[in-house]
Amino acid sequence: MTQVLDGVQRSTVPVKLFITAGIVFLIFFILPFLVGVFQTALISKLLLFGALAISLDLVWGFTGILSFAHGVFFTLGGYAMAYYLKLNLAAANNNYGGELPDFMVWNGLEQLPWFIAPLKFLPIAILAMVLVPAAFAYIIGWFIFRSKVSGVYITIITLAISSALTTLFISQQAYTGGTNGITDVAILSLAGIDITDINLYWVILIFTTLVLAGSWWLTKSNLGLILRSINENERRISYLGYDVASFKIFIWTLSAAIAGIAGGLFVPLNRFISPVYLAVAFGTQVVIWVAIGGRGTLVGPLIAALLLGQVQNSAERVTQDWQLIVGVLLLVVVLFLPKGLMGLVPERIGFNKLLESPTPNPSAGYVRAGLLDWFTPLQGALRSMQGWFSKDRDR
Amino acid sequence: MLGFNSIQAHIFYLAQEATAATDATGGADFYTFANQLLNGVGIVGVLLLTGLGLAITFGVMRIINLAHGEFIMLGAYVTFLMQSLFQMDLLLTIPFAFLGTALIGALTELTVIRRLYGRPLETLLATWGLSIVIQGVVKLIFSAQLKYVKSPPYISGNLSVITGQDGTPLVSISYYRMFIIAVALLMLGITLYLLYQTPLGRQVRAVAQNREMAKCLGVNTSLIDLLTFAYGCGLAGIAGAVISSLKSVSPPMGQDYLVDAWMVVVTGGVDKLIGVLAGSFLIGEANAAIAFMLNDPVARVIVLAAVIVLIRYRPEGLFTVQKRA
Amino acid sequence: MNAVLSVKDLTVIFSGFRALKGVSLDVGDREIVTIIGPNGAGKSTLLDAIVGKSPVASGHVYYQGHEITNKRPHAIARLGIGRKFQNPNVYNELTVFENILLALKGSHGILASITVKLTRAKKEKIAWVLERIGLLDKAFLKVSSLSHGQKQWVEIGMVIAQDPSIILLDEPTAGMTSDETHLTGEIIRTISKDHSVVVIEHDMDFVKQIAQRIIVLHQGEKLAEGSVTEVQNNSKVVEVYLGREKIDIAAA
Repeated sequence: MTQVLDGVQRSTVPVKLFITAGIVFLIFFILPFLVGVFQTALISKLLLFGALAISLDLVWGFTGILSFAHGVFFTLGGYAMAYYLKLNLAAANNNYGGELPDFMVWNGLEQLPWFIAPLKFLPIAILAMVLVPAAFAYIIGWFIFRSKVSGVYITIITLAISSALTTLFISQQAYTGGTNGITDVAILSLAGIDITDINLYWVILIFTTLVLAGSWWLTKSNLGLILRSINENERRISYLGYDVASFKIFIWTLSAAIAGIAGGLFVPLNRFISPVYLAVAFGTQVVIWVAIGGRGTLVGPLIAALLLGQVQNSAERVTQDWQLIVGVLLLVVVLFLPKGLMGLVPERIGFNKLLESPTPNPSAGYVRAGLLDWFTPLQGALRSMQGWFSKDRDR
Repeated sequence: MLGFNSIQAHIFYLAQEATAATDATGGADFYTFANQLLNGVGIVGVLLLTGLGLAITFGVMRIINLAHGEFIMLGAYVTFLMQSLFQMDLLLTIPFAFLGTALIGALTELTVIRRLYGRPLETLLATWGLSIVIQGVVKLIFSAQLKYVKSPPYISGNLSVITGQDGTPLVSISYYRMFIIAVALLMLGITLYLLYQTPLGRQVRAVAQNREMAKCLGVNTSLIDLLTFAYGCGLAGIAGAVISSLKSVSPPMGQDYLVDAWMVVVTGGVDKLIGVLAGSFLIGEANAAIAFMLNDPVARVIVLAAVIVLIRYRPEGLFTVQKRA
Repeated sequence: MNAVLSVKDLTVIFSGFRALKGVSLDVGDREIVTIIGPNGAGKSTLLDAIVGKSPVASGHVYYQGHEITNKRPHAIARLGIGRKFQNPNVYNELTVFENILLALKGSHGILASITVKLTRAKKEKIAWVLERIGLLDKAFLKVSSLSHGQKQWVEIGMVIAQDPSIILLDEPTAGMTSDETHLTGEIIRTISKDHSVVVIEHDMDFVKQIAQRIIVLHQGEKLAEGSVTEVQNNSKVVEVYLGREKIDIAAA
């Protein structure tokens, strides 16, 4: 009786995909030797923006929650790292000698606020970089996803959050450095050795690769199926026994954590962070990368961030009106290319070709089965953890 | 009051705002507060005027229009253009601002909005793109420089409500703010009349409630959509024209009003046009009162947070009757 | 009677309008209960209230002796109450296989969704469900490519896959051809061997095909209850239906 379903049974790893991905990774790995210092730094930055775009794709492309607040999560992670680097600026480089950052001195603070002081230590700063955005997202998620509010209203709430936090950060000059943000930060160093730009590039490359691979793996699991179902009809899936709100909160928080790490890695590279990245305009930028790259494709938003960043870099030398071009692009994509640029890639040579399977009717289940076999060791670990964390007990 | 205020001022230490906040606590507490409340009334006028257009496009048509702020900005530029070309009085430019923005609104409906009915998230994205494009184009034409618009000389000065013993006004409101409120109420009245007393308004409401049925009854729905959207944009244009002389005119000016207008419409509720009045009153006065006790940015953050909470519990707005799900 | 589902004096109010006025009903193990009644009688509202979609104003819903009144939908679903909606409520962008997979009984937690493996047992279960609804050969087609009737079956399949002890079907034959309707009747008779079934239906031929016990709702109240013949001969039912017919004739 199961003969018809045998296709899903034969589990093989999508070899072509892995080979292609490996080659692309290698090219990126040696890229710093081929391009100059400037390009290395630029590509590092764009890779981080790409990871940020992937994190938004998880909640928007797959789950259908359009958020303008991803710049906020990115920036919260960024501030955590910026405080660490600012507080570790060698006393000699600090205009005021003491351990208090310059902007706090200017604004009349006499001692380090208690909530900033612990960020002097790297492990705490790294924890904060992940946990602050994640916790913030969890609270918001818990608040808005456990209600009848959905769709457009959620998006309006994310706009309000971005707007409110921008105002707050600009107004609290003594704590945040106001409009300028936190500037002139120290160079990131581990065990007394300064991290060079090229090392930072590799760290960022590995991070973005992990984000891409991890997101891909997640969305190929049953979770991906559930997220897509929430996107299509969230009411129906709750009658199948899934707690839609907790799935939304999970992916929303996970995505904020990814955004936060991207923000944290951004600061040692960029050497400053400011409310510019909190503002709706930057949140829009992220949305545009995903929209142009193609919702629900993961790799599309990454490519869009890399390409648009490069184009922007060259265009800004010629014209002041980069924003205008972005606006036109967004309009064109929404009106004519709902699947984004990835939708333009013909099926024949496209990304899907790499997933090609021997069965005439490939399904997500087929790929998933293959991958899960492949990840068995990890799976065992996760399953044992499940016992500790899972609160959803069947009755 | 005083003690509370100084503690707060210490906690929310602000470079620019703190001085103002401590000054406010200095002497005539009541008068400052009364002034602040009247200021709030002035804000209410602006909020009502900017929110009204959105109440049409979102409240009646359910279009998520993130380019609303840009239509306000366009109205302001029309006024600026008319003034600098023909030395026209601000009041006379209002009809032009209405027609100009309504025309651009109609074009927008025909080219963008029409393709996206029933897809709110897509509409939201497209109008956001549109807002960037309009800002960019205006910047290309007029440059990013701030422009200034002259307010009519016969509505300048202040009306003092309470005058001190030495004749100095203690509590006052500017005539221009009162003028804004008058225009806002007038536009609200006209809109209510059009919507509820005319055959056209009946058709608009019919389309809003049941598009298919309206079509079957012979209503030209696409024409109604076009007219309604253009009217909403025209209202934004009027808002822009009237507001233009309060601050400077610049391409990004619409962004500030966009958030406010949305907050007003969401607070007031989308079903009843009159909710906009209540929404703008609530937000304007809350803003003014909190700003008096703390300071402006914090007031804004608190009001935004309150609106988020409001959306969470009553997405249909404060002044709407609960309906069957 | 040992009731699987028991509803006592259920009242549902929508902004002042009493959609259900103290309806009681019991569903026994592996029994088919058919609910009929004119439009607006409160049939769908009754199912909505049972599955937690509409808030219950007063009264109680018991499932296997436990109170489930006003619990959240996903919690009620997990207990073992499956619901099929009036219009096909399936995932058009997913394949038939994936639709059934989603509905399979099992852990519905987040970590489980990431780690769960597509076991042979699961695939067999899916195949078993697909065979019951006659869509085994369409397993890997997107649902959007199916006919209306087939989509209805996919949704029935999803409900079966949940392995609930009670299945609530809201007009399962809506929009079906008469052949499809008859097949649906056979499907329902088959699944009633393992599950209790509550069906809302308009089509009297179909009702006669499947019904064991019929409940008639009218204006939010239970008008009659009994076998097909009992209901057909009930004077109140005749009055309501004939009265309507008279009006219908007058209107026509």
